[in-house]
Amino acid sequence: MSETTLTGPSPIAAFTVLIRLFLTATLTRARIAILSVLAVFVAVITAVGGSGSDPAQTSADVLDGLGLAIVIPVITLVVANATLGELREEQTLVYLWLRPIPAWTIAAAATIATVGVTLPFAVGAMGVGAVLSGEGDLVSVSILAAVLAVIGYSGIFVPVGLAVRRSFLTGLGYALIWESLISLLGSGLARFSIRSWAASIIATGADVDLPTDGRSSVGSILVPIAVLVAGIGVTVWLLGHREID
Amino acid sequence: MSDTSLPAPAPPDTLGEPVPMVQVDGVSKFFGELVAVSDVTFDIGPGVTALLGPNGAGKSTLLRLFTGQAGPSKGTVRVFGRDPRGDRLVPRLMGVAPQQEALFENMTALRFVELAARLHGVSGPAEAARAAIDQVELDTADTRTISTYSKGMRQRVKLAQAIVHDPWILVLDEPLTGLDPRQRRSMIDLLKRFGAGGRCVVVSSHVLEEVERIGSRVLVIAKGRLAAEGDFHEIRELMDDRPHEITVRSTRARSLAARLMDTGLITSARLDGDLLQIETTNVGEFSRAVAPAAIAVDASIDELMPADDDLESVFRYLVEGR
Repeated sequence: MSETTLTGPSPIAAFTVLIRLFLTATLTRARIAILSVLAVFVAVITAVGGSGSDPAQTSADVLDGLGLAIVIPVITLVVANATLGELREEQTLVYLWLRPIPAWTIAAAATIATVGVTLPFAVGAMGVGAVLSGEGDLVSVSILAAVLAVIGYSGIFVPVGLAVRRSFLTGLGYALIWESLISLLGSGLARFSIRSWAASIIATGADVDLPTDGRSSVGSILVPIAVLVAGIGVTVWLLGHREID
Repeated sequence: MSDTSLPAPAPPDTLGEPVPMVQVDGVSKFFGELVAVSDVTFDIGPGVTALLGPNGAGKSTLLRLFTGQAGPSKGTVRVFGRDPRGDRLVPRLMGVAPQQEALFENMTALRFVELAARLHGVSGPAEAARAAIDQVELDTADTRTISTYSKGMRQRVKLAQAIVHDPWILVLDEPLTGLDPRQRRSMIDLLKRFGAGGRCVVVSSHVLEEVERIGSRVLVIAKGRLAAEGDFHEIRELMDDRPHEITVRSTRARSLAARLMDTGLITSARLDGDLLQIETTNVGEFSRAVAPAAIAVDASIDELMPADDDLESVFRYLVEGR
């Protein structure tokens, strides 16, 4: 009786294949156009807002209220949903799920591809906006806040794509209601908001007043990263426990 | 033997009993109040096995239980003794073509199949993908994306991605849907070759004639239950021997009914004006006897048609005995 060795690809090889797949799937012309328009919108509004009596504060308010609370979550959602969310809704996730690869390779590739595609647009929006506002202190902290926001939001929106039907609308509701409004209602609620952790970096670094309650810089860096890692964990769990169409 | 090795299945004709590559034991599957599969038990070994049943019978749910896409609410499913839901080795053993049409629409067929090969760790994925595309008679040089493909071409792409890693078990959900007659013949030949090599091919279908050509072994699924199983010819006989209802429109219908009762070929007759509803367990003999009977009573037959010759009624009989 003959024997056959039944090894799948190495996790690294699978991860590399999946990263390329997700990058190709998310970087469509239409999606690049939408993300670019949103990024330019933030930069322009920040530049215009920065011409008031307290340009640093006004620019920081725009970067927080428009950039971190609305545009960055929305562009992260657009990209994240194009990874696993669309595959699940189109019933093509099965063509990855049925392969002999660890679930973490799928989860990590989708999440890291989301971060990689979203970052240039988020950093561009916040960085260019800060530069155009003429407030030098805002530039580096705005870029760091954008990076942390993208990391945190990616940790939320990738698993949401697997967990719920109409994941884009669900994610949009989360961004517009939770991150934009409810997180402003109190410091307790704000601790569960990605926006507030990222905004505290701007508040501390540029010495402006934003609706955060004096978080430590270390916490502001670690929390979004922890959300990303937890999001990958949840995605792995969902891939192992949800029924796949 | 290492955990990543399994014995290759011997060809069926060298074994006393077929190897149970797939074992289904007391399996039920509920979706809320809906019972999709109800207490089903069977084994599947090498060769081609067809799951036959009407739409909504539970065939696709059963196939999803085999592949691990869904878990049973009760009972166990094993593939080579392993849990398909929890053991990531099972996908290496299995090739699956799901029912849904959607594929990675912006890819070429070759790239899609090559992606499957890479994710299965096939050495030489590009060559393996070309070989699989060749086997299903698609063009490896086709630069069109899958979004432009017809239903039949999509079926063949699905099969190519399922066979690219040379699996032991092939699970195909309604694979002949959308194929033209020549493509069907070609697909059936391919499935038979696959099954003849000692591998296990499980195919679902709701078309009796398809199953007649595909499967030597048939599992009849109806209302989530295993209604019958065995060689296709046994199943066919069982289906043919069931009571058949036949509608006859005739002048002198009452006399004709009496005459037919005398022949012993009908088990019941119901009269409604010039319409005669007859039940018989021997359609062939009845067909030969009905014309002489009409002549004998000086009746003419205006219409004679089976009232229950559709597949649904066959399944109803097998499941409910009526």
